Amino acid sequence: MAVAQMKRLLVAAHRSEREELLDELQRLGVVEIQELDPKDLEEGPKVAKENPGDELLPLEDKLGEVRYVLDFLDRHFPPPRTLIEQFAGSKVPIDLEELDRTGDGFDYGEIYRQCRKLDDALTELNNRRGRLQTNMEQVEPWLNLDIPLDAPRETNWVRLLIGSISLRGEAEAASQLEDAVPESCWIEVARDRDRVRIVVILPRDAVETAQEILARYDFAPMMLPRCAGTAKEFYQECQDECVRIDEECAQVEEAIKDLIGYRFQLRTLYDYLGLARDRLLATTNLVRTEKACLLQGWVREEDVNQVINRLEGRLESATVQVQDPEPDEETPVALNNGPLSRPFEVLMELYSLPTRFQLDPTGFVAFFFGLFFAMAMTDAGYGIMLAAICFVLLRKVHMSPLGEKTFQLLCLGGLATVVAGALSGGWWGDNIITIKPLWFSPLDQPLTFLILSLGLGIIHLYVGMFLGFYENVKKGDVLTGIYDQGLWMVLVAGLILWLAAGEANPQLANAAKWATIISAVGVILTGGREYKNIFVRLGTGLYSLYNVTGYLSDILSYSRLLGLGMATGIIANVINMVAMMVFELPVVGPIGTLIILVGGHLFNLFISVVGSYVHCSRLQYVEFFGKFYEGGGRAFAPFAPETKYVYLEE
Amino acid sequence: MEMGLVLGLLGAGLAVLLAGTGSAIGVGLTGQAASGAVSEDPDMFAKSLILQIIPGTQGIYGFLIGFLTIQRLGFLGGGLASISVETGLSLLMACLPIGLVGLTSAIAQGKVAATGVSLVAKRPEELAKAMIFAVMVEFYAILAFLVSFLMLQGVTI
Repeated sequence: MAVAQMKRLLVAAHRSEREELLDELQRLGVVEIQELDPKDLEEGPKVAKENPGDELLPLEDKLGEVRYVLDFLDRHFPPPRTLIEQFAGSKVPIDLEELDRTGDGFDYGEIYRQCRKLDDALTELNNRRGRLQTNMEQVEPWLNLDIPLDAPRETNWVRLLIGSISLRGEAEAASQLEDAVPESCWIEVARDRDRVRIVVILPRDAVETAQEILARYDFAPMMLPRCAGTAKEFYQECQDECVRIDEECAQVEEAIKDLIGYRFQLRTLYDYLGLARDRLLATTNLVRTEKACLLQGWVREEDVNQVINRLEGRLESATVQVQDPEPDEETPVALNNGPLSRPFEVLMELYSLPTRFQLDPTGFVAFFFGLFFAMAMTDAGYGIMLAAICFVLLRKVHMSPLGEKTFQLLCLGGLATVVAGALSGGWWGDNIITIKPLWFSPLDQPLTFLILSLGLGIIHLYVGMFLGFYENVKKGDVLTGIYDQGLWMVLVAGLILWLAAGEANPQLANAAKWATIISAVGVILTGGREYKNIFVRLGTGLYSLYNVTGYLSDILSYSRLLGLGMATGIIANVINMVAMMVFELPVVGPIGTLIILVGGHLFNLFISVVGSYVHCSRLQYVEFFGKFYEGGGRAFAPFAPETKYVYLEE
Repeated sequence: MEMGLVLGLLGAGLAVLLAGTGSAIGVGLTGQAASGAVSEDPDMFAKSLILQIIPGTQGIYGFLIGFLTIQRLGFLGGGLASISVETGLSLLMACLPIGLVGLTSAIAQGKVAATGVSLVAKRPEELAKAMIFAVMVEFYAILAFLVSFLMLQGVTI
């Protein structure tokens, strides 16, 4: 239980081995590279910043091309992913040899060009289909027109007007035209909701008169391409063309499908190139002279030998130097805990890591989080389910370090819950499987459970205050410790005993009363000690006594354990009751019961776990950490392989 | 039917009705945000779903209290209980905490969960934090549920 000791690492190597140096470091994954600035180095030969040179751009281009191919394939054939994979990711294990083989040897150029070609072909086909569909929409109302579209529309004597007119004006237009041009002939082709399609045959010299009349009723001439054949034939042609386009599209899709087989190699290549890019980007942190380069970084004490052996063993020119950090220097922080409390580091990472000058409270957090989590669940059946589910997931799914720790934490929490459930007699509720509680059932004695919650809460708070006291003493500030933690410990304990002992034990109550009063006076005298002015000091001290309400509300906050614990049990019982009622139904009864039991308990497990996790975190972050913890450490971020699709097997 | 029985039924109805309405609104709000997020990235489905479930719990708490009340009234077999007006009113009172707090907290929680969905859409790794914000609201529903339950147990029929 501690913050890991960090060492500063300096590696000098010949520039020709720079690539190998970064490669080894990346694969080791235990060194955080720190940026070196030539200005910070004392003096010496011409020192400049190392730069990735002109390799970076072509590499970025390649990455972009592989990304394009992968996106193109995914767009047309999305890779199937289960719910768990959506949640936890789906990286595939791969060994180093295969990664290098695919990375160096796999030529994606031909696939890239093919994808481009197929993509272009699809775009072209879609454009053509779009144009055809516009044509079809235009011709659709004219399907009844049975003259060829390219038929002559005027002769020496006669002229055809083809177009549409508004439905409302139709009768009036027809009668006016009849009056003005008696020789005209009005043929209706089709009508829909608001337009009537018409052909009007006129003598040539009456065209202008007719057009004038028709224009009043919103006449719009037909706009169709003048191709051979009737509208129907034209429509049919368009349709046939569409079918041909669909066939071609299917062929293209087929061709894309043939490329799916390369997906895994492409993904491997993508990660391989990404790793190479990361190495090139990392070079900007180095400095160089003409022949040599220098790298600075942080490494955990226990990894130092491994790094030295690896670098000096595999590189001809590498020289490694290890230094202690300066006494007051901030280093990146990694936590170092035993196997049981390691999963609980995730709670610290989500909040804030300690600096290397502070105490790492992970062990305490682990103990109390586990305890409170179990109390908030209080059901052995749910504990078994939770531990089993987490165990299976940890076995089957490759997770990020954070995800892995979270599930380990939940697995341990599940085991603790089994114990709490056995003590309180909860096995998927307590009305189907009735096992006598080893201690007491919170459903029968909620008050006992409340007192237990508050009592454990008080212990939790006192541990926090004691840790604060310890930190102050370690800093050599014994007085601050006594003023800020010691007095309060006495005050809160005195107050509780005074209230609790009451009439039952007058002697104890009396002692507690005096302890309370003396410590309260102490708080008033010391609470404002940073102020010189005596009145301001006493005023501030008096005000700081008000903090007593803060402590009381902290203690009451632990009543949430009662709420969460009982809610789990009550919901489980009602699920059982509903399931048993369904059992009586004919035919569907037993199956319905099974569905309700399994679905209901899984759902209850889910909401209970989420609630317990969040509220127990809160008890650590607000109530516990509020008493002593500062945090503010920067997490150790070693230079390690970061990939999207594959992960390196040990 | 006796007046006491009617009052008890009114309580059961209110618990389910109010808390259920709140949850429906909350789950609906989150669902809208979730559809938006999934339209951008189908992989958001599982994560959005988890956030969408959270405002649904109030409806369940309301249902549980309503169910237990109906059971106490004897509608689920064993013959109708004979219930005085005072007892009926007590049952009605017992149902109110989860009904009202369920209604308001589920709506508030739905809003938090909906913004949580957009948080996760932008930063998929921050699901835990989005859940923490939403579950903070849950606590008050749990308290109300608990008090409703204890009141219900306290009423002797």
